[in-house]
Amino acid sequence: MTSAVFVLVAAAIFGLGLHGLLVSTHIMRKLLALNLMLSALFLLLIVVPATIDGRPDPVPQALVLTGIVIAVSTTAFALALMVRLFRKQGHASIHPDIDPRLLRTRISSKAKNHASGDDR
Amino acid sequence: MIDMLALVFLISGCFFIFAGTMGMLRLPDVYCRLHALTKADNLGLLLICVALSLLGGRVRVALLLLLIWLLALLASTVSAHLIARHSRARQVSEGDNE
Amino acid sequence: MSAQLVIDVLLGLILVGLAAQVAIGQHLFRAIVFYVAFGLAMAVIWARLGAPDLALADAAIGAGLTGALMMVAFRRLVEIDPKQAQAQATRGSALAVVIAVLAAGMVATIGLTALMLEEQPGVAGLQVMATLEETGLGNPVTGVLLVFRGFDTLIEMTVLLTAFIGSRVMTTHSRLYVATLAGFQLPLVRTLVAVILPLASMVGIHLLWIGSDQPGGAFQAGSLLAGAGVLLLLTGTLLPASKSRALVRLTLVAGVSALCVLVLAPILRGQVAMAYLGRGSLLFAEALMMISIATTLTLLFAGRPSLKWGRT
Repeated sequence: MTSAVFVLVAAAIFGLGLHGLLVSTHIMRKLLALNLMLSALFLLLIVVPATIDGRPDPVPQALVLTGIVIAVSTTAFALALMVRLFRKQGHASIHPDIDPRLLRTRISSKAKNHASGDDR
Repeated sequence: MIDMLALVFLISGCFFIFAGTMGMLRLPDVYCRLHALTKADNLGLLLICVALSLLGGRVRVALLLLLIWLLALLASTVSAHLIARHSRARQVSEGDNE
Repeated sequence: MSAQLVIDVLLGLILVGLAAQVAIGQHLFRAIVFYVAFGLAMAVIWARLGAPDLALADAAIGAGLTGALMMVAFRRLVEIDPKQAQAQATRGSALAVVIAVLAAGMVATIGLTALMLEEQPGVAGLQVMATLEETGLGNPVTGVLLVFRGFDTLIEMTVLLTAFIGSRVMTTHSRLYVATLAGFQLPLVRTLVAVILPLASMVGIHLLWIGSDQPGGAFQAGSLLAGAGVLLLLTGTLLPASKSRALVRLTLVAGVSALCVLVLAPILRGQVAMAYLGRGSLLFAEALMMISIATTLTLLFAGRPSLKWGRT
């Protein structure tokens, strides 16, 4: 029963991460969402397998440990790419169809957002 | 009997940590929030560590939990000090809710 | 049994709430902080699910080091251009929500179906548990990592090294912001460093040593030492240096080299590649891996190819 709870939790986090990945334009938010999806899949990988003689199955645990280290490596490299991209093009977005002049800070210029109409 | 005592410590520890979090959310100023976080949270952590060492039953567990609490104390002290200094340097005045 | 279910449901709700704050939150820095909290909640869940090695590794690497790397990258963006760094338009669309819900449903279906099938222990796991005594190790996860699936660990260390090299290639010619408070010579900070540094070294080596029989191992120890390295960088005890030194480069490749030795040495003795050579060889390889992981992650945080001692 607890396994079913955690499976649903993993599914919810995966869905949230995928939504964040699709919706955000800033690369760092996409990275955060990707990491969420990874964590959800690791959770699924540990919750589902059966136990062996009462002890948890060690092979999925080793695989997830490898996965965590690879996740941090990929994130670190992607962050370096993001900093370089930001320096080169002035904004941290990879969508070609967004005019960078329309990107505004959300916190300080909410009024301007409402005026220019790109706030959804 | 020991379980009841541990339960009392656990619940009071949780209450103090809850109070600290409420303070962080509701107090008006970064300096007041630091007060709430460090004092209430450290006390709550101490009570929880006492409860866990009662439940653990062995001296080794109790000593390890004491070490954990001391490390958390050190970390939160230094962090709070640095945050307060940084806020002072940026001249965040009292009552500035940011 | 029902109290356990309540706790699990609570843990699950906390996790989903934190994930929602990360994915749909407003301010980017808040999302990073919530991600660190999410990683720590995941560590609690790993401990609940009976995977203490994963709990240690996720708390150190997944929450701590990933959070630190993201914060320093965010700071570098702010240093280049404060206004644009946080600019984010989210293109909300109904299609994205539908896709996300469908994906969540797919994951839930896969998981629940797998749970409802008859419990069959994995074949690999059975073989591991059966032959674990021959290797002399007590911790099956370490056994799987180093003995039974050693090639995966070799490739994993190579990925770490490649990520570091890639980051260096990307940022060689930029003057990156270095996250150090080199002028900060407060007594409190010096006390913190004086307490944490020996303690972290001791706990790291302890985790390495007991990783053979109890939860622990090279990755947890290495990431703990990397955390101590990040602390030293932040307080100015270690400073990033632009001139790359031979010793630092040696520690970076030590892990991969040790594992290559583990793979190739049995061939010289006439056995098959990566045949088991004994507990001593595993400990030697794990020690070099620990040093390698610690150095790589600290240098990734520093943003420069090397380190030097600052004024303590």
